[in-house]
This record gives sequence, structure tokens and C-alpha cells, in this order.
Amino acid sequence: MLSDLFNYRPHRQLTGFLADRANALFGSSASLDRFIGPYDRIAVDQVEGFADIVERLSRTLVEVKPSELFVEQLRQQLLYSQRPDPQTMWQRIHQLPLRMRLAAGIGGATLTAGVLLIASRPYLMDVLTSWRDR
Amino acid sequence: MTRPNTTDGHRYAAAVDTQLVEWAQAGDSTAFGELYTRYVQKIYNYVYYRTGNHHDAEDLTSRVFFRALGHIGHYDDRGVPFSAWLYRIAHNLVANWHRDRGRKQIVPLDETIVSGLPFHAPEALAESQEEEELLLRSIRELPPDRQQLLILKFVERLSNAEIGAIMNRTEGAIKSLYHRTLLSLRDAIENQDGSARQPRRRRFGL
Repeated sequence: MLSDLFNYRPHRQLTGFLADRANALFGSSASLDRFIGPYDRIAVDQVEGFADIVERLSRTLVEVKPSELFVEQLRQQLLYSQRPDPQTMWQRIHQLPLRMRLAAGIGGATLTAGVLLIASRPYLMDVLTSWRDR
Repeated sequence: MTRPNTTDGHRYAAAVDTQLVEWAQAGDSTAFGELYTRYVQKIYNYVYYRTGNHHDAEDLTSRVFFRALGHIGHYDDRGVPFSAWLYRIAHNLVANWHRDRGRKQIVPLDETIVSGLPFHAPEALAESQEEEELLLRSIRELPPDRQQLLILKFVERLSNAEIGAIMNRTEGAIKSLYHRTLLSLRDAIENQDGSARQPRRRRFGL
């Protein structure tokens, strides 16, 4: 749209501002005022709408520590190349959702029935022919 | 693989990733162990936020490092850091995990990370938990690449250039993706806030 052309440069500036502000958020003070200056084409209300989300993201997405026991056990397994017991095909199938297992079972049974039908076709044809010729 | 050599711990700790990879490719298990030490928490964090629980995070983290161990001979540093290679393995395994299980990406309430609020503010604590749960749910409804971007930016605090190397995009593309991600997230949160005003049952243990 024509309006997009007029908004293109401020849009790029807003994109750059958001990226720089996120980077600075993890450093020292990340006051909005400090970053608005260079981006003179950005309206403050454009930025404030994102500031809340960025603050919430920085509060919510924090580092999570794995259990020390898990870390050490995995290290030992890796160093001594002791892989965990590989899953059997049955175990992998058992972990699929129920509806997928049902669908696979029905599909497999249908396919098997079709193959058996085709394989027994000569015999069936002989039976049908003998009935017809009675 | 050779048994770990404990006498050269300092040498391994001081080595750069490319050197450790070279030693690991030559069969040095201690070198791979050092790489593991450096990146296990980062990979765990990434997988945890993509899966939403510690059990699956441990399982997938194990698979990431066993796959890396099995394929390290094929790793070729053509401007792609070792960490970026690990994240790509993790990204692919998580995608397979979601496809195989078809799970809704909802964080169980007991897994929610709660910010440090004082004990004498239970109402504020409950409100904060609900806000964070809402945000995490919104994040997990984003496309995988946008989730990856947010985790790398906010949890790992990587620069746009580093994120670009991991996601195989230019720095400019990452900035643009970040902007679009915030827009999507803002819209998703506003929509969920609107529906949240209506009474709904809380699902426990889901």
C-alpha cells in the first residue's frame, strides 16, 4: 500500500530500535529515553506498546537449571559411550497418540485383507467358476 | 572413544571450541566432555522452553548430545559455530518430538517459572503466575522459528548476529523477525486477555 512506502523508514528504525533495546536490556540501564534519541522518526507511543511485552519476556524467560544428577549421569554415559537402552519398535509405536495407533491398526488390517484377497484370487475364481458351472 | 584423561583438565577448559571439536573428532572423549559441559545448560534451556517440562527436556537433551557425539565426525566448521550446530540438532529433534506426539504446547502450572515475589503477597503471586502462564502459552503457539528466536534472545541473551548464525539468517532478518514476533505476541496476548475475562475452568496438571 502507498502508506507503507511512507512508513518504510520509520518501520526500519522501529525494528532497529527494538533489536538494540533488547540487547541493552541485558546490559546496563535500558531506559527508553536513552534509546529514543537516535531514532527520531519513531513515535514514543509506537515503542511503549512493545515495552511491556519485552519487560514481561525478560521476567518470564529466565535460565532454568537442569538437575545436577541428570547432568552428571549424561556426562558419564557420553564419556563412556554408554547409550541408554535403545527403544524397540513396539516401544516407539506405544508412545504414539492413541488415535494414530488406531488409524495405523485399521490401515494395516485393511491392507493385509486386500493382499490376502489378491493372493487368493485364483482360488476364489476357481470356486466361483465351479459354482457358476453347476 | 578413549577414557577421559583427568590430568589435562585445565588444557581442555582453556581450549576454544574449534580445538575441542578437532580433538573430539580424533577420538578424545574428554574434549567432547568439555564441549558438553559448556553447552548442556544452554541446550537444556532451549529444549525445556520448547517442551514445557523437565522430563522431556532431559530426554531430548540426552538425544541432542548423543546425536552430536555420533555425528561429530561430519561436523565441518564453515563459519557455523559448534553451538549453532548443537542448536540446530536440538531444533530438529524438538520438531520431531512435537510431530510424533501431537501435543498441545501448554506449560503445566507446576512448571511455571515464578518471579521472586515476597511471601506476604499471595494475590500478587497468583496474578504473576497467571500472567506468566499466559505469556508462555502465547509463546508456544508461535511458529517454531519465532519461539527459537525468543529463547535465544531472552534466555541465552545472544546477540542478533549470534542468533543469525544459529538460525542461518542475516542479522537484519533476525531484527525483522524479532519485530514481527513481538507484534504476533502482542496480538496473541490481547486476544487471550479478552477470552480470559470470561469464566473458564482451570485445568490442573495439563
